[in-house]
Amino acid sequence: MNRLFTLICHFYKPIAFINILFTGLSIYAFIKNGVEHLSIPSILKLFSYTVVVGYQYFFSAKSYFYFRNAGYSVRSLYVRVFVLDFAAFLVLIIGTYFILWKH
Amino acid sequence: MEALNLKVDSVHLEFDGRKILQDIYLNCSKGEVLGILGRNGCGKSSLLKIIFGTLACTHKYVSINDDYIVKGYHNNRIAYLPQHNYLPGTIRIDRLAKMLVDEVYWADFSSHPIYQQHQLKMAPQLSGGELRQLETLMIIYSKADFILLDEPFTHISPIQAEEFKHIIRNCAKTKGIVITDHQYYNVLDVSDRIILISNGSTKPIHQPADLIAYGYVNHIN
Repeated sequence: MNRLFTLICHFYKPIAFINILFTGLSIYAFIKNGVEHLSIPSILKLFSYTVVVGYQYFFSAKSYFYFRNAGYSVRSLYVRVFVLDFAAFLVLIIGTYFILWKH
Repeated sequence: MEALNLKVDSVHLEFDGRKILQDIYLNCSKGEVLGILGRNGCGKSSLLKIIFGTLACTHKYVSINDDYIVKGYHNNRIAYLPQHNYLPGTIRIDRLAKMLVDEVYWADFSSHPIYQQHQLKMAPQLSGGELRQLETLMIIYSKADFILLDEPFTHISPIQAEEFKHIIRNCAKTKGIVITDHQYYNVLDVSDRIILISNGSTKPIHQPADLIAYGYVNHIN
């Protein structure tokens, strides 16, 4: 489990800045548009995963072999990374909602 | 020690209607080094990628001890050294190595001068040759039962090639190793058995003179 977590961190590191950037943009969109338009930050966040996959494919697809040689498929690592990232995004959205509108 | 046998059969690969691989059979046991030779474009690298599970083909049968394998890399059954660099460039070498290298071999790997010298660096800080050496060592010393080495002697000096042959022989005591390289003399030297890929099919090589007969080389020193 520890090894898998470390590999997920290694996999996430080069794409972290894209995810963090889009999370920031999504939170901003959420603050600007309110709860009624929750679909806007959600779609923006989901779009970021397409950007991440495209970025990795064009700039560091060769490093996929490192993760395969560690015994994991790239698809399974993407799924884990995106699930964790989206969970963090939801926590931030809920936190923002409580701070701005329920406080 | 558990006996393991990698079997590859009935591989069919075509590109744009051109048959690359059509009559392939090879097997490699734990404790054995199998050398694959063949001309440029004959499908050596493609065959290794098919075994590893990263290249789709029309048909294939890959098994370990008769268990059908879809993706060779799942659960560390098979490791593969590609021709290109594969280490992520944003993480330190020592952190990357700890995820790949088998604990059993960690002392051997970590005492190697190339690791000692560069363990705290990242891949882009190394020269092409240094990086190739490290990447090759990480695969040879990895946890996998079977190791596929695609041109491990390219980009390294003759002295380093000699050293690698010694390491490959040593690791072959506990793994099966499949190796291909255009430096055929190194492949002949390190391998227990040789097969040649010619016209899309595998031909067992019983003696070096067979390589001349199949037109792979003109003469052997």
